[in-house]
Amino acid sequence: MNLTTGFTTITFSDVWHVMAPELIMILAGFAILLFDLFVSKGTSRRLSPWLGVVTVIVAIVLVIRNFGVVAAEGPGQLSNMLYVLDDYGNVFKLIFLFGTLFTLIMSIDFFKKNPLVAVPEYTYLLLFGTVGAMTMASAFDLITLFVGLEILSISSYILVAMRKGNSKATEGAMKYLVIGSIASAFVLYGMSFIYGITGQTNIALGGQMIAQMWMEMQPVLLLGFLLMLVGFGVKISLVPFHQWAPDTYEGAANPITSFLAVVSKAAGFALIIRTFIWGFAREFGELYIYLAIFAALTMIVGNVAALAQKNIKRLLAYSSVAQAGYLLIPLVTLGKGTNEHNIWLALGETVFYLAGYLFMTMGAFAVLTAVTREAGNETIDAFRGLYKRSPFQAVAMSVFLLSMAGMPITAGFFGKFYIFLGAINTGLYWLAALLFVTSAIAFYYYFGVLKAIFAGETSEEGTAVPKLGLPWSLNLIVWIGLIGTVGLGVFPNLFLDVLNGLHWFG
Amino acid sequence: MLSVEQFLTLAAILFCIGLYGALTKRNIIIVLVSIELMLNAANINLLTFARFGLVPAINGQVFTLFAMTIAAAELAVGLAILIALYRNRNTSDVRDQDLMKW
Repeated sequence: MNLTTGFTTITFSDVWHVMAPELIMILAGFAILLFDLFVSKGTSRRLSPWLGVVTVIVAIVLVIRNFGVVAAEGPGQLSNMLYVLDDYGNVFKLIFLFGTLFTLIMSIDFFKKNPLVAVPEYTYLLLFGTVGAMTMASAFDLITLFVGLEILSISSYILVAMRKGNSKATEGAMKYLVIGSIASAFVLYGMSFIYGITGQTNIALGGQMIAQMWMEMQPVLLLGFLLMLVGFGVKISLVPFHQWAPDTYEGAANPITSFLAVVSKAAGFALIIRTFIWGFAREFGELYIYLAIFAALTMIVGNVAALAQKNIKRLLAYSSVAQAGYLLIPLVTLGKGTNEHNIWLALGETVFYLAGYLFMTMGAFAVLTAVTREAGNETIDAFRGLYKRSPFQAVAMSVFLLSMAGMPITAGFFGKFYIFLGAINTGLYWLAALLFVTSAIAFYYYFGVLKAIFAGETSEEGTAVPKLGLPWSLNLIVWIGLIGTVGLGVFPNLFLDVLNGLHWFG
Repeated sequence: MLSVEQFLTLAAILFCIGLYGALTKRNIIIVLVSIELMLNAANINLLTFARFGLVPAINGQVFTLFAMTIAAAELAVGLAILIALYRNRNTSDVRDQDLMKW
């Protein structure tokens, strides 16, 4: 990772070489925007989400091609390491893109049922939000990183508010915006101190300066670190800063909720891990304890608060808060030594869990959409007797919930198992024990839903139970989610081998 | 000649006023203005460090330009959501945003 001095001209081919998937997404986003502006009011906008789906698939192909580029030529970079192309970014980009793809496919059904929603705006904001997430995964400079974070956040604020005339949606969006903006201010204020001490906005150079200055400037650097951690913590809903999550998840449309739960959260982790590994690598032995406290609090409060929930979306929201706690543990283990081996292991654990989380969350939200729409409310009672109405959906939902709880032969089990092993290996026994205990608590509320699905009665004996159908788009997502969740659970080695073969940072 | 400490203190005071306002004010517009204060406090910090920091460099000023643009976009979206909220609920009071709790 060398830096050149002086100015270099950037040509389009340089940019294309490093950020081809992002460019495609941006161009398609603007194409949809212009299409919406210039065609007459009567023209159907139904094409937009399909254009979005095609774009995301092209971007996925380009990201997969980039794996090969990194393996052959080493990591690419743009404009003095403002933006880098490495496999760490590529893996996270794949997770974001698949999340967006599933969100778009689920949205097609959402548009049919809600004709008032502005389809083109929805589609291009989703694309732009994903570009923000991809920027967060690839940024190597505080400025790019902050811009990426804000592109994702601002797009998500609007997407949450997109349900026309829905008071809960605007309320959720407002809460998200106020808390998210305060978080941005914290991040920026923290970054300003780090910049002030190091004089660098580049993360790697800043990290070197931090190592030199650590002894004399420790209080200021620590202040900067904590301010940034608080800001990032809001974005990934760590516990004292998680209160926006249930409200926003409840208010948002189901596809957007799954987008927030998967893409937004994964992007936050991509950002945190890169910033802290490169910026605070040598000091991490002293700093990891703050992350450990947040992880512990998040696991406890997330799981305990979920016990009291009657609304299924809020229950999944608290469960996703708890998952953020589990996902933070691999990063915490780096506090016991940031040698390369540990970093690769921690990254592998995080990405494996995120991939499983992607499949189970998307699948769960697809089933949830069909069930709550039919019932007309979002309580757990909506699932009562689902097994009688639709055995397939009942079984699929059970697999997703058991995977979230961490039942063997599902992706969630192996994800948690690897994180648990990682914590044990690095001697963080108390955190590993806490992971185990809080997972046990989680079984309780997931079983509440399972009980409703299998045992609950909706009608008297003898009367015909109306069957619950599944639109093709939701059906597709449920199948993909099922195959992904069970596949990662039965053959975890296939994916782990791929992860082990990556050139994470080149 | 003002010293670095004075600028940093100003930024810290602005940040705290902004945070206090964002957490306690009842009107959403004032909350948004308070958030703007917090972001501007960070901008003052960045500019101070870019001019008088241990290692003065132009990066801080560039960063500030980006941060100002982003803050403007954020506030614009905030006001747009506020209008939608006002249409739905006919209130811009923070205390009335209680459809969802716990």
